[in-house]
Amino acid sequence: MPVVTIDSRQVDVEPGTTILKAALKLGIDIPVFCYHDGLPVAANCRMCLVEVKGSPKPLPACEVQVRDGMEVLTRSQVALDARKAVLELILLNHPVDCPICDQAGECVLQDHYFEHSATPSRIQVSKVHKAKAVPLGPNVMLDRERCINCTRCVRFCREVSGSRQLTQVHRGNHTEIAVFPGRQFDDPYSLCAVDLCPVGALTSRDFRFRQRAWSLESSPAICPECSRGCNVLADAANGRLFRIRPRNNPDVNRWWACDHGRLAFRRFEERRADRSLVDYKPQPPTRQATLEAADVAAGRLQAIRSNGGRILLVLSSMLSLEEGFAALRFASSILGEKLVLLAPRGGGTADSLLRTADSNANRSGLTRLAAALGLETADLAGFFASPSAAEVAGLVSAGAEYEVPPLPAGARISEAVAFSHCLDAVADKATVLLPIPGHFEKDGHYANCDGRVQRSASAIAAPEAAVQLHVLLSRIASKMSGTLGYGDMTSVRSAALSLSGTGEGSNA
Amino acid sequence: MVAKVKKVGLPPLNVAESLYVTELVRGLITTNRHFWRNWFRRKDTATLEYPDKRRPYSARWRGLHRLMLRENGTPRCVACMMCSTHCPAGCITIVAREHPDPAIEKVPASFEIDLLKCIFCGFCEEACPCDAIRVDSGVHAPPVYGRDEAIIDLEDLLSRGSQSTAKQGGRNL
Repeated sequence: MPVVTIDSRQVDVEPGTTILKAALKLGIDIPVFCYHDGLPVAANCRMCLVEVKGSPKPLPACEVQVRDGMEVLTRSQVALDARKAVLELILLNHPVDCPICDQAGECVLQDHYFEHSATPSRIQVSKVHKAKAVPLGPNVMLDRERCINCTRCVRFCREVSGSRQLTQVHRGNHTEIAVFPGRQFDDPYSLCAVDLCPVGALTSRDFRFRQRAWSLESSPAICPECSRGCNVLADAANGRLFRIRPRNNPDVNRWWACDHGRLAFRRFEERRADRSLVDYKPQPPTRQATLEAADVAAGRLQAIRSNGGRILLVLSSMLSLEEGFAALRFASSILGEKLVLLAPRGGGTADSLLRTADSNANRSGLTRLAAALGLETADLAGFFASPSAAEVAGLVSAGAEYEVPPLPAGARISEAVAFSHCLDAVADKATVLLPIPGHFEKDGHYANCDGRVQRSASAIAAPEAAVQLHVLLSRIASKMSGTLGYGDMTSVRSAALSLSGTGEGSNA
Repeated sequence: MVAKVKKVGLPPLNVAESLYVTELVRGLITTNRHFWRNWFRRKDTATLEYPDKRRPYSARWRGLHRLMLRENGTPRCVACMMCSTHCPAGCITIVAREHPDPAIEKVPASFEIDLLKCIFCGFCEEACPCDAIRVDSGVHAPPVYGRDEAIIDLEDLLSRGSQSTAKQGGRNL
């Protein structure tokens, strides 16, 4: 194993390790623009130049592999001068329009400039101007002046997404990122190129000008758009979500996330259920009104049960394990049912990189949880088509966004209590609607397609009227003279996680 | 630390002071002197007849905000939000929008300042990279009947604006 000395500290690394990786092992950060862990090495930005004893010129640390006995200096005068010169070259034609650039605040060029150069430009002639605000595709805007030609985006399209839609054209000062004539950058992962761009050349058209980067607070969440469960950061400011970015998880989504998942969060703002509805009449938007509406629902469910009517639970596959646990416990101990209707969301399309055909965040987890609680599951649509559906007198629906199948022939359903965050087709049918927190408003655990249980933190506050599902259900249970046998969220969580089994490789 | 308290007694009165009437007369003389001087020689008076006459303000006096204009009369502001970021009172709310000219790219769609929150510190002016917002209008914040009226908008800010001599875009275009 080669032993290499970096900044007079020795490290023992595998053969074939690059200087950059070896330095990282020692906790020494070497600045980069074009290097990215998820992309092939290009070594074209030259920001990572380091001094290597015995080498006539500084060498790029991202590409050069260590030799036994190699001596590397990352912060010697030679290395620092080389980096300063590289930065001066990169900034020759950079417009420095940071005030109107969305990348400002999270720009690698800004960071490196302040750390390694911080000197004014010496250029006396005019800068080379290029096109600004070029819509490259439906989601990506290109500013050709700001581009530093690191080719991260080009390599991403070539090596990761495989769409090969981006390329470089022209030479020298006039080098530009471009799509082929008549085509557009409509890669389903095009926003990953925006994340990869170290400067503000590629920006998201959706996020464009909405908020400055430094006013956002990031929360580690899980993308609910398909069963992959990509790890994401939910960026919020002033109680609103502004963007979703991938969070590196080498076992799930690596550095990537699809455009569909990143842009779908706005549906949580549209048609938000911000108050309870009793018999389709809106109640005041307060927590108290929601709890009172829950009492109304409890009274009606109790009336059906005392007449011997059958009430079934409809469980959306988008709910967290905690919510699923509370709902399933309600079905078994209060409704006295062995059967639970699972209502998955449709409309998923799989792709070759991350997205799966199942558009439900937690189908595998909730199915496993129901089995662990000794409950049988049936598909909602299938059950409604069967003759036994005619016996049902009431429905309790937890969660939203599933398709409501046509009611069974001869149905006698008099009550439908829905716990939902949005006013969708489910809410339209509900006689009592009780608002609950939406996906990015709650802390919860989700099992992805591989059974991996992952935690999603809340990024924004729920509307005042929204009450957590387990609180509403235990209130309804106590009004129906029963108990769910759990206390606060902590006990719900530990019970849900122990039942669903936080399997191998879970980051719960 | 305990503060030291020094007790000071009243100075003893002399005979003339203890008679009361002499001091009363002395006081009336002073009052009359000012009264008649103000009546006939108004140049010397310390007070101004405020709404009609005003003392000149320092050029550095910070009053109502204004937004400066480009040569073609459009706002210089590029909605970079430096002012709202630096504002210690959090009184500036800006919503940005796309400008049809890609050379300008970003302009404010709305620019609101809540004068009830504003402390007139002038940090917005110092933070501005475009010489767009200034607090040198020399106008006081007007009194209002309701809180909503204390929020001034883009139109109001531009109405006090004028052309700036600073070159938009800086050096080495």
